[in-house]
Amino acid sequence: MADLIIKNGYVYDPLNGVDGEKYEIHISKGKIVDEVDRRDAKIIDASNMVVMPGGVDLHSHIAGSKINIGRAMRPEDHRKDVMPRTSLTRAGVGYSCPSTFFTGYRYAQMGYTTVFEPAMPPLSARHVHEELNDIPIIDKGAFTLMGNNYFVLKYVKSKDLNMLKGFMAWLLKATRGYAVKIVNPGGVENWKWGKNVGGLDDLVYNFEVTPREIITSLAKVNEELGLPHTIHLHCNNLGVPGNWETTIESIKSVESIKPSEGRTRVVHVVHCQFNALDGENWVKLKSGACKIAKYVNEHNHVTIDLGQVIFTDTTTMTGDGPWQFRLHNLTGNKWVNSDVEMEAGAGVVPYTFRKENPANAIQWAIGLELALMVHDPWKISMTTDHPNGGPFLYYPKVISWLMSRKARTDTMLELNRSCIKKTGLAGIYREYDFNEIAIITRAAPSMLLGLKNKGHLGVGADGDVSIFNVNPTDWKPSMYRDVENAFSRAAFTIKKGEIVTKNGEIAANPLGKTFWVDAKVSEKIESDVLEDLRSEFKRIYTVSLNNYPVQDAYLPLSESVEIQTGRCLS
Amino acid sequence: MEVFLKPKVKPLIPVEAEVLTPDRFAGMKLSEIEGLPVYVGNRVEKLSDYFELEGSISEKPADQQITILGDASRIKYIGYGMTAGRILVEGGAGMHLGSHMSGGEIVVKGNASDWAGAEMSGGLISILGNTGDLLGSAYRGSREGMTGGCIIVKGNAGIESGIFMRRGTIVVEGEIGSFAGAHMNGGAIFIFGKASRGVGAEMRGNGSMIVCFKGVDSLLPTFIYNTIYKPNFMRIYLKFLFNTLKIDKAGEYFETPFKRYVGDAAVGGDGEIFIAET
Repeated sequence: MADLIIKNGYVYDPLNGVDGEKYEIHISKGKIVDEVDRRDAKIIDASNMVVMPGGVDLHSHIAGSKINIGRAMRPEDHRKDVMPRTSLTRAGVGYSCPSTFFTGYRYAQMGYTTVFEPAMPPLSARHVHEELNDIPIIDKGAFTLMGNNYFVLKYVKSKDLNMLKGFMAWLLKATRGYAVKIVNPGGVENWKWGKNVGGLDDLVYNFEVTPREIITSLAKVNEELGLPHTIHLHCNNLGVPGNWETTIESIKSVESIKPSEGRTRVVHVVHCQFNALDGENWVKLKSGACKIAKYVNEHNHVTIDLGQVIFTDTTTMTGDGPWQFRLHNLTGNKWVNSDVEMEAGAGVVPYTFRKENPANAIQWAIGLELALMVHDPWKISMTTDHPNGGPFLYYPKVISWLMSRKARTDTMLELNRSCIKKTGLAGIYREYDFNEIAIITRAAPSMLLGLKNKGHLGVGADGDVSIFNVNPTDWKPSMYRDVENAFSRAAFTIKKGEIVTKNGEIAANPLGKTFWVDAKVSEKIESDVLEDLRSEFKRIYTVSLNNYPVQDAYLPLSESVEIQTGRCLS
Repeated sequence: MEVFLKPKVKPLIPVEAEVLTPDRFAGMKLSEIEGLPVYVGNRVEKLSDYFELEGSISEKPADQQITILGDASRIKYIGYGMTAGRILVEGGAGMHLGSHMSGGEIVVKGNASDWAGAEMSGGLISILGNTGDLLGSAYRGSREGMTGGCIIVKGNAGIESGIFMRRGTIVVEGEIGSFAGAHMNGGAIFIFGKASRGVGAEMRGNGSMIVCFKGVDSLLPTFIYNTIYKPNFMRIYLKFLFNTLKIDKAGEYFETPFKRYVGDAAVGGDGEIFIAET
């Protein structure tokens, strides 16, 4: 592979403090280096273009059993976006539930090079990794669902945090997961009995623990283990009007936990838009974004991602089974419920966000309000919670809304008037600049995930670069359609030093790697946990312990982050 | 202006020819049209492999008529997504006739196959013979079928006609198969022949209406009998069918009383089924 030089571009590299400077980037053997030999290098002229690190998406449901259920139950979704086979790429279909190959191509076309699947039930881990292997170009990883796991609940109940620590380390390794995902802690376990939890202090049946205990125990152990990412929390009461209080209470509950070395954050609240609803019911719904934003501004232990709503027909899918049943009752749409023994659950329901629907218009505004009211962009990651808020194909649209008040106003005029009356969006004049966009789509997510070689362009970083055809020096917010077009089709996407897309067309088709965490605990804890697992698996699981862990064969290309308790080695 | 397509062969494998629309033809040269792609099995072939073309092409789709001189019952997707103009098929037509169309007119003198007018949103389809199943219906998985326009069938229609219908009108002068108008959520279906079982199953309402002039095989028990009366709007509807759509049979029922049923109670719907009392 030839060395690459990218010259004349305006570079945005927030992690290294570069804000729109013109300088050359040299890539050799898939890494960014100081200088390469000019004679053999391929030179990309990025005059009048924006150069950013490859995009990092930390929350996008792209693989696994849920998305596969969505594909099966929504044949009508496949018709909306169709890509015929070319000599280089495979055919693919799908819009809110795209096929695996299609997912990789579409992400690469937008300049993204790293994407994480945020909900992997441990028993479906093989399925997740099989699908991840079929997603070309991008690097990826998956977060393991733990909030309603039998063993987690058991150890939380017995307050045995050492066993919990051992179990978490073992489970991450067994499933080749990257982080701890918690979905509606306790609620999904109660859903097995047809119930839910209504707040942080409700009891989980048969375990007599509360969601508060589950969150704090997992967060505490997560920080003690020193995992690269904090806990990835989908709060209780998602989608229930008035749930902002639960959200803030959940964040507060982990306030006193000591973060692991070198960071201040202990919790990441996902798709925060769905958790920032204020009002007693759907009719009186209003935005709770300012309350959440105020809290996030005042505290450094929390980060959020948006879960921005897009007005389109999409498929909602989440591990939060009881919420999906509620959504099914609200909409009358078809519904699939899925139960994973001892571990998790899931639901899938198609949903259309409509401009004329007052609640949807408010939800749309909440997502943008969160992004604009939190002062520090390093606490924000841009997502649509693909496909729950809308397909990831709409990221450029979200970028244009954030960068241009005119874009927001133009959209707002088409919406139900409740959007203006019941949210504060119309009164916000802040507009993101290119540097802040680079933060929320690249630098912040990679920092939150603890990926050392992603999201920046410093020497030693992976050679993942995206170049967009928009000139930042004469761009004005009124030209928001230009920026939307530029971010929809990257002029160049470079993955590991190889040009993978050129003017939005796929140019190469390499396989990306999978990240996972190999956390070490003391041998004593490990053997205690294994002994307990052995007896419990024999008693209650449908698979044997030996068949449970994912073999290495499922991860042909992987990068493990090795962790010694309390200390990050890699 | 009119262009004539004379079938050369009867293909063994169905030909997918979604290029057969006035929208696609308008503004092209005859030689260019001959080269338009059609899909046959896993191969891409040319339109001229299956048709001989002659005639004149207009600039605008609205002025264009396409006439197929002969049988096209192995040609799928005739008039797919058309917005204007006219298509006349002298023989039969294959599956997906006029699916997704939003304007213009299609007339088929022979029989049409399944999925005719599926998910159409406007325009008129007249089928002088019989038609297959799933007339004016939704494709699998979709919640919205026909959202506008009108389909007239002189002969019989197959099963699951008008399922998930959202707006528009379907008129069937012959018999109709089972589960006509299932999941219907708006629009009107007129059945002048005998209707089979399961009419309007899980129908939701939104002003949806099925009118059966020759009775129903067996009405679902979840439709609740209301009354027998002569609704004024029915006379207006029938006059529209008689005068505008030229359906002579409608003239026989101007003074007929109708039994009104409401349902489907299984899904809390308030759709209406009217059965003529003769």
